[in-house]
Amino acid sequence: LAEVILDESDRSSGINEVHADRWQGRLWRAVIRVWIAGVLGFFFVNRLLESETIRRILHGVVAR
Amino acid sequence: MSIEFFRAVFGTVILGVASYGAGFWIQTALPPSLSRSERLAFSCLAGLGILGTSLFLVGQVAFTPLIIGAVLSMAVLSGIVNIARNPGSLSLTPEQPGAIPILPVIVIAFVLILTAVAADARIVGYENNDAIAYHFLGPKVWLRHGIVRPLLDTAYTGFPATVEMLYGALMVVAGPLGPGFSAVLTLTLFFCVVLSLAGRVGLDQNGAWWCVALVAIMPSVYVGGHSGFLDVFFASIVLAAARVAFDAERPAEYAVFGLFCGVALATKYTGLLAVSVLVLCAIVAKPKATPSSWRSVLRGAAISAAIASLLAAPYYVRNWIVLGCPIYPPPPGLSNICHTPYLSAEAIQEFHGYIRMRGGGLGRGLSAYLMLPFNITYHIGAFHGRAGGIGLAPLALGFLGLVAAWRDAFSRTLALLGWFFLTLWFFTDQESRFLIHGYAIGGIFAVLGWRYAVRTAGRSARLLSGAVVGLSVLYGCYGIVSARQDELHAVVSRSFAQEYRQEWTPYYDSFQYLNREPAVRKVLILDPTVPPYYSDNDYLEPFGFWGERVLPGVEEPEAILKRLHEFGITHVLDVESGVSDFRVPDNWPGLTLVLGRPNERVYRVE
Repeated sequence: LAEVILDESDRSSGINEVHADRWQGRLWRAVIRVWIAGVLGFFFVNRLLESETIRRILHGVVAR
Repeated sequence: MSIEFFRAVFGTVILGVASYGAGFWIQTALPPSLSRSERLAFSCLAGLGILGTSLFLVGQVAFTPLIIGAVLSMAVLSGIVNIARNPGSLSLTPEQPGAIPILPVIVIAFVLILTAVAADARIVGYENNDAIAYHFLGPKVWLRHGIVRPLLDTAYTGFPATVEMLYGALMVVAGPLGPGFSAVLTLTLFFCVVLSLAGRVGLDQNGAWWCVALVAIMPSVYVGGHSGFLDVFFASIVLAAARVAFDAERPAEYAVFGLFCGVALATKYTGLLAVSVLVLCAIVAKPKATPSSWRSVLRGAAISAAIASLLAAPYYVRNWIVLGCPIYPPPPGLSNICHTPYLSAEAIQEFHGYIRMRGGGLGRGLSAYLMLPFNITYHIGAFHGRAGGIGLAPLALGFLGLVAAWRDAFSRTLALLGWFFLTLWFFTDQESRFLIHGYAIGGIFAVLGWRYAVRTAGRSARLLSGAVVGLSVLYGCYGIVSARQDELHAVVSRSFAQEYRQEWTPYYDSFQYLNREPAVRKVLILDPTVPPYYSDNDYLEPFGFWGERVLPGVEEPEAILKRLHEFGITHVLDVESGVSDFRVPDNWPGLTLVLGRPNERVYRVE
């Protein structure tokens, strides 16, 4: 009986590990995508904020 | 293209063959992991260092076209004999399977062709341009004097001068455009070293070429590789040293590592820090990376240190004897110990203050340190000069490359080395050019990360990382072309070339007059901001830009004006720069005005 219980316990923990691995894998892939997209996105935001025209517009808005 | 341009091409080819002749013998002492083409590039790189140091040693006695020609001829002859004996050593056929990828090769070719074409325009600039201030000034004056001695009016000419010696040789064999055109050779060798490292960390042919393309197109890298700047050459030497050190097993391989360390020390003072880190990585990281015993690693490190010291010693010993300090101008630690007769304590303090201000870069403190990867990517334009940028790839993909390659001992050690470089740079002089070797390591890990992202995160990651690489390349192209647009314009338009030269040559009319007039033999330059590089005649500049005193004890310009005949002065260049408030008083006895412009005057000594 003890051996059956132990086998069952091992199997269920194995299934949980697979679930955890899948979940971690998805999370890791999402982290990679978000990170790369973030670096790309910030480049454009940074370019826009550094642009003289945008600065002038923002300055005008703030002044009003 | 002018005749001078073809002479520059010819002279650079001569230097390339001579470098092979001077360095081919290291090929058998390189680690077995290097391919035939890598051995060729590494031997040329080492050869350039050996040639520069040989010219420096010979130049202590005589530095004339004849002597330079003899040294180069011996090296060229040795190269030709070796090629004839072993024609396979010149083979550039890649050993790795697979075709060479077309896109990165186009990017690399673009950078090299642009460099070659822009080199047809003469390098001009003001005193704040390092090439004009000392990289070219030193060799030009040493050739004129026929001997290599630091110029007392320009403390920077006391820097280690391996590359400057090569510039001197190029001025003889390749003409005035030679030093500028030689950037094609040094950039090519740098790309070869990056390719070698990229292959060693496990990238296939396609990935390795992309590494080179990403690094080549970084404006921050490019800025240190053309128009007389020697930072790319220095980075090549440091990275070549790392490539050899992390695979070194035999004493001969450690000896080659020492050779590259010595060349680094003999090229730039920053080599002192870079070499310390290289030796540390080679000792500490290596026993874990390979089964080498501690004893053999320590013995290897001792061999490397001995050879490096031997190779670099002439520069530091010469400075100690002639200028009073092995490192000149003396850094904070040494300035209290050394006595420097040509540089006062106040001048040294002022110099330290300037370096601290200029090296402030991206700020100090923990938050600035933690923000470094981000700030280097987005805000590197905050640096002095046209620092450009490094593109988005190292930040976006570099850490993924680290994750991907962490299990590989060589990659891990390389990453550790990159981190050391970044940290040292942060705590010392944050001049963007001084981190080119770090940027190259960043480029390699970016491509490792690109591969990892595509393998792990699917199609969307492939698109995103492709966009990062594409944007980095486009951004780099824009940065590099805009940085050199004036030179390119000057190459295609003769009228613009004249306009450009006139605009960027300070006191153009005066120098034209002084260089044209046969009666001019020695010019007195009283204003420290006037770049003496433009004078083709001998000159005396009693007060240097950093407060150098050529004639200790003489503090007033009037004192010199009273002793013009004693110093053999035939003409006086008197300018109004806004820095020095001294002007030659009207009707000074014995001086006749021969050229008058609003801010510049030339007097003849009667």
